[in-house]
Amino acid sequence: MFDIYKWSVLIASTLFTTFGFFAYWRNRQDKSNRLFGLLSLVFAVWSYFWFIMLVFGKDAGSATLWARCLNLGATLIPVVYFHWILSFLNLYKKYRFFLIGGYLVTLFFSVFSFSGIYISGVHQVAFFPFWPTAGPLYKWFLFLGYFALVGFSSYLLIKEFFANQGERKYQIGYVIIGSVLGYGGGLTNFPLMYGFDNLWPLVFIGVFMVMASPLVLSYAVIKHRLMDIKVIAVELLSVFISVFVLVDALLSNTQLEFFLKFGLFFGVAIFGFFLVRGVLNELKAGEELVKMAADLQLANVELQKLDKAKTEFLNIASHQLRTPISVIKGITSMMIEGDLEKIPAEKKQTFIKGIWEKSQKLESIINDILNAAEMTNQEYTAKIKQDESFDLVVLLKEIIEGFQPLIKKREMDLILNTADESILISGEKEYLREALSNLIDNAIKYTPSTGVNSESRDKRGERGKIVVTVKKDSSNAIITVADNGMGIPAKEIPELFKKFSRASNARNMYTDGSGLGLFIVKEIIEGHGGQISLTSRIDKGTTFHVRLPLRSSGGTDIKKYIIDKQQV
Amino acid sequence: MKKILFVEDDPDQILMYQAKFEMEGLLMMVSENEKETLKLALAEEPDLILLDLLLRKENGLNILESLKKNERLAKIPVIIFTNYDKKELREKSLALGAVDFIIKAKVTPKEIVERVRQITGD
Repeated sequence: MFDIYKWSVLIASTLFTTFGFFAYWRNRQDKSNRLFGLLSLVFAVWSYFWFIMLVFGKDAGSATLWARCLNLGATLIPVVYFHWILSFLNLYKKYRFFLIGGYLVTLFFSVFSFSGIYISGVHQVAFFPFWPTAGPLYKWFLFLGYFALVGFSSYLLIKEFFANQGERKYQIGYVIIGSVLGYGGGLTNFPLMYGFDNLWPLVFIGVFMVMASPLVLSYAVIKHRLMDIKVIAVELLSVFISVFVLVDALLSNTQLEFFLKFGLFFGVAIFGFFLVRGVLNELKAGEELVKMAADLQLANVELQKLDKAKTEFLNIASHQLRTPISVIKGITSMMIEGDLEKIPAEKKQTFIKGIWEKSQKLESIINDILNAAEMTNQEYTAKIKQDESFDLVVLLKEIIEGFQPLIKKREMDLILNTADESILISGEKEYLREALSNLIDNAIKYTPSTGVNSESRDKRGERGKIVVTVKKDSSNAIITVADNGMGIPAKEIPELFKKFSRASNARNMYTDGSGLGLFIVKEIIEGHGGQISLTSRIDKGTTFHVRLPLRSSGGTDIKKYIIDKQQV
Repeated sequence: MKKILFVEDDPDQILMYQAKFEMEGLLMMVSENEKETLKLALAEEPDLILLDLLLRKENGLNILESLKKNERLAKIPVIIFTNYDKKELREKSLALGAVDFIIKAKVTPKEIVERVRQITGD
């Protein structure tokens, strides 16, 4: 029994050394790996001295010395473990004061390691000739070191385990299992130190638990790159053969033999180098393949989403296109059939006006669709000319003037507020006109007012009001378009600038929108190096905020910009 | 004179179809939502209902369902008369008991009048 225990302790020590070195060597740049190496080292110190005490402890005097040495190792374990866990969980910064405290406490106990108040001596337990006996100070180490630091580490591990997902969760899970094995196993040693000698069978279970611990912990540390074991095996083999051949060459009897064998060594070394490189390349290719597959899957999901949006768009667009067509077709067919001759002249005029309005509606929907298609078309070339400067205030005044007939009909107010006489800006004037008109047009459409026409179908007691402001700072023009309309549901705002998207409440109110307007606006503004955002409150209104650089940086090519963006 | 109830909220279309139907000797009443439709249908007992699917605040399918659930109204033939062409909607409408599903842009006012006459036996 004693022999089994003795050799088990030696095996555990060897495992700690090997795996500690392995993890350290795997990635020395990684702080967490370095700390794991250090942890394995203190574990090894602890278990090697166990072995030494069991084998070389000839009398109580020498056994006590080894017992104190092994307990110095044991004293260091909790704090190094805590340090490693903090680094492993990336919580080092948050808990560094706890760690400093842990090191101070550990230092305190280390100082007393070789005095009687920490380990008072050794005593015989069952078939163990010597076992350390705890001094009066030792219980404080158990509370402050073992239970407090390990307990706190466990709490952090469990918390992170539930907060994480996927591979990381498994990795943390392995660390938890490894820790339970290591610390659970270590725990079995303490009762015997306090004279509960009849609990000795526990230490057998304990030593096997401790043995399993480095296996699980190392697995956790290297798991995410487990495939690299292939490389390590090949590297080890190559180095081993090379060294063997080199030693053989150095032991040559004749010069000729030396040259031949050295040549062989040279050949083996080169072959080994290429072998390792080959395996590395193969692994890299494998990893790239995995990454490509993941990317493809992601792209596929995006395509499916786009496909769904396109189908939805086609359904809506065909409705939007058909509605004016059905009126144009209906009225003209009645004209052909002579029906219009039968109705009063005044009503006849309304019918003809209906054709005109629906044609315009049709034109604007088609323009939206064409613009959006153009924005994403590779042929699209709209270069912002650096030398083409124009006055933004004048442009806004022109746009607002153009909306006056509609505003009057709807009994709304559309006001321009500006402190600046003129704001000179460089950019593509016609595109910016399109973008800003679109914003104002949207505000008109989705703001019910006291007046109603065929453009908007909603009416309310309060007068609709749209305020456009423009000002400049050192390098930007800031434009806002604020309405007191229906507002946009908060959860739909992020979707709003996407192609074919419309807020759900807008879908109810105004079925003629193409769902492309804001997409076009965003493309134009961002193509000029600007930004667009919005704030909104349901039934209170929406404000769009646009920032445009006064001078677009280095002649942005809108086409290139959009194509680049599509490819990201 | 046959009575037709037109469930629609676009003023231009109301104007056009109402003019044509009246010229053809049919009486056309108009409602814009479910509440109005049920009230008008119960009071006037129309011979046929023309129902749009995309209304400002309502879904025409719900109106169709309510009509078919009402004992007194279930027998009135309903034509879905819309520009929103979607296979699922067509199937669902017919399953709910609509007699036809007609795309507005595909027919002239004269043609819809003929179809209505055919169904009402006018």
